[in-house]
Amino acid sequence: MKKDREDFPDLLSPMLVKELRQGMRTKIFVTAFVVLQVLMVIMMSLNALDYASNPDGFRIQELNGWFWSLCGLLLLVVMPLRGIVALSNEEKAKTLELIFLTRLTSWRIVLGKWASLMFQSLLFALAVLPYAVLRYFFGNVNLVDDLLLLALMLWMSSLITAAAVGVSGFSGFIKGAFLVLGAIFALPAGGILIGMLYGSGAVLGSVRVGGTSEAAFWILVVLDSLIAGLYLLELAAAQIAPDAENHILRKRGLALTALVVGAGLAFLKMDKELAYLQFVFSAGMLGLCSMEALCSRRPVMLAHVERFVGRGWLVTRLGRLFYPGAYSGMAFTLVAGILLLLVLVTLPGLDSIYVLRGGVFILTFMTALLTPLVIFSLVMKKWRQSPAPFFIVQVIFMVVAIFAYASASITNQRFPIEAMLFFPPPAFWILMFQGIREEELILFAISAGAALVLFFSFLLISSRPFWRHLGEMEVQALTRRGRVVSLPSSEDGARLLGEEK
Amino acid sequence: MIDGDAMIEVVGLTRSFENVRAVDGISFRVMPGQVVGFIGANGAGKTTTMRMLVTLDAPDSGSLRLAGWDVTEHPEEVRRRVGWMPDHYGVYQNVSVFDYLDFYARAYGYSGEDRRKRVNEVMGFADLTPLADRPMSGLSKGMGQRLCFGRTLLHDPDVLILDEPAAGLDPKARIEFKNLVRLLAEKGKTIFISSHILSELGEMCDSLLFIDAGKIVHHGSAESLTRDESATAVVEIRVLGSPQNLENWLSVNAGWKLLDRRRDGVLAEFQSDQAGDLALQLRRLIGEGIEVIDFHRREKRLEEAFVELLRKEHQRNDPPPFPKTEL
Repeated sequence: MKKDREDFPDLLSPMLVKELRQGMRTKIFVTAFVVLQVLMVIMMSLNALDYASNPDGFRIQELNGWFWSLCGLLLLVVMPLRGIVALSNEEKAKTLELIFLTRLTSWRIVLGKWASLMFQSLLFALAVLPYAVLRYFFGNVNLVDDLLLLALMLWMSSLITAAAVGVSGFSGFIKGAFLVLGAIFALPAGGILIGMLYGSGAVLGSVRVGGTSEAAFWILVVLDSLIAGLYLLELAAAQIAPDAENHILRKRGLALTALVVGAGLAFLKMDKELAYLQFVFSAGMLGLCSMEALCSRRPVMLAHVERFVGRGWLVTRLGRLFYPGAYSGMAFTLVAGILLLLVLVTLPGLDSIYVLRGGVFILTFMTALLTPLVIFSLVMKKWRQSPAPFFIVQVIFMVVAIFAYASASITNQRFPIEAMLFFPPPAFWILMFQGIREEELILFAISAGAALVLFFSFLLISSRPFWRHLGEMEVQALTRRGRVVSLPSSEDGARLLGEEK
Repeated sequence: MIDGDAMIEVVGLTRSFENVRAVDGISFRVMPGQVVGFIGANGAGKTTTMRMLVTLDAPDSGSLRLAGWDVTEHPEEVRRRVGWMPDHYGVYQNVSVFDYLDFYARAYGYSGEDRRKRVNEVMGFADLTPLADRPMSGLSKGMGQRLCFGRTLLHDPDVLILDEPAAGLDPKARIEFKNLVRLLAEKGKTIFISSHILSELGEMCDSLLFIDAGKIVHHGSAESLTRDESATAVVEIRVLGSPQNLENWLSVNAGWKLLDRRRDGVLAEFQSDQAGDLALQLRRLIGEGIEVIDFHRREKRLEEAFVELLRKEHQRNDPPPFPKTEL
């Protein structure tokens, strides 16, 4: 088709053009835009009157507080929250399938939706700029700091929007959990931020880690934001993608990239705090990947397998970590845990007690993640790979741990954590709240390690049909690629793959 | 695609959902430029088959080729050549008719003047130009179907797969739609269309494909289905005055069976192997002094033929009932 670019929208993604046209006509956008302008005008007028009547007693901090609160509310709450229905609206209207038949992929659809929301947020940011400049005339305003702060807000908005779009393809249960967690963690964090801004606009100087070079810190922040943002958008793309598309490689690849950066920082011994921060971030990313993988119901299809076969024995085997479904997720969880433990022991300047504590954290967390799969493989098999039962088990662990810790605190006693040695999964949550002695940590490491071996052994045995079937699919995929002349029997599948070095 | 090859070729196609086999080893071919009707009751497997043809679902087994491309191996090539109109079209809020088509034109890779030209062509063809600025959410069912049909044509596909496109349309909109399909067929498009309105499909299609419980039960022209190949003719006879004499005559003449009494006549069945026997019967009837004002052999309607076909199919497939046993 001839590319005859004549108008500006031709330079943009079709999805972005459509979403912008649609989004900017919505009532919520128009209302928010008008209300913002009206409030800004009222605020500025009142402060101008106040300033005119008493220039010496005028306090710019109060105006700053209102100004940034309003900006924060719009950029960090109202605009990002519009993303939470981005995909569910399309699914409800049954419009996604028609888009898939065009040249747009699930990734381009999601990216277009996110970019459109960010464009609209940018419009809001630009709309408040004249008022930001007006504040300059009242005095005591640093314009450079203001602009940096606005940029910081937009950056945070982009991440929150990505998270909202990321969960928009999920069920109401997951969305509800996202909103509750957002209300629990994000609102206090936002409050603290606003509090920091209330006194002064110079927020960037206060966000520093002791001993860390500022440039390296911000580079890492940008890199990790990119990883987290891409992961969240991939999460959404995977939700709406046809079964034949496999987004697992990108998602797990992003989490492993974060770990590789952490390992690099640990290996280079440049800045230990940065290495610790990166380790925690990559552990979180891998944890998210594992959680998502262990409650995935997507089937493995020939199209997924074709990507990994015929590229040598190692790639075929590694490919098994990147297929949809809980059993591939289980293998990935095991490998991710081992890699995390390896990076943990190489972190520079970390006391052995912290290494041990981190190790126990990882082991108990892995057991907690695997428990639902083990339970639902034994009983109520239909719940085996469902998100809701998976999270309900995790919430039960958390509630049990909080209850145990709270009851121990009320009676002024230390919770007897050794009681958890026989069933370590909930201990992860106890360890979050309560200190633990070194000898107990060693016992927990042994107990959690044993539980892990037991869980994995059980799951490996119960997932044998899956691995056998996967082996057959690998052979079938090889046949389709023309690497094998005839399809061997299923028993020969694994042997043949072994010869395909 | 090589000339003479089928535009759609389905071989041994199977698709199951949980324990239900929605499509059960069906095979058929549609040649280029043909208009083929796909008929079946709700849940017969029509939509599942069509969704597999347009790459929106994958078969459990069997093969599908569209315009010479394997649907599962080359979905992108297939998508370029197929236009899909589902039985429901999603409505976007705050989007006008023009914007809707403009978005899809961009998504299909049109840009600049090419895009504007193509959108205008399609709007003209589907008679959407007067509606260009109307919001999608304010369209009637018929207008919406026309818009959805227009979207299907945007990338000028060789094959059109239309799932219940006339469902819910008023008679005027149905006629308009039928005309559009005819125009496209004249332009050489291959059209595979499912509908419940069998009589309309009979007029519109070169051949009909009947599916029941995931299996093809008939493939042929509408005539081949409605043609009564049995030796029985259903005849409608109207007479002047009371039909009592006519009924008496039928009861004493061999080969006739009264089916229904009417105010001014009867509906009767006549059994004969000879084509000319019916003409002979009419001559005899008039010769007996019965004042016949209408005597015609009633043709089987497509719907009746379809129902009969299903009944026969079920009789053939259903196992004999278990003998009752005393406990």
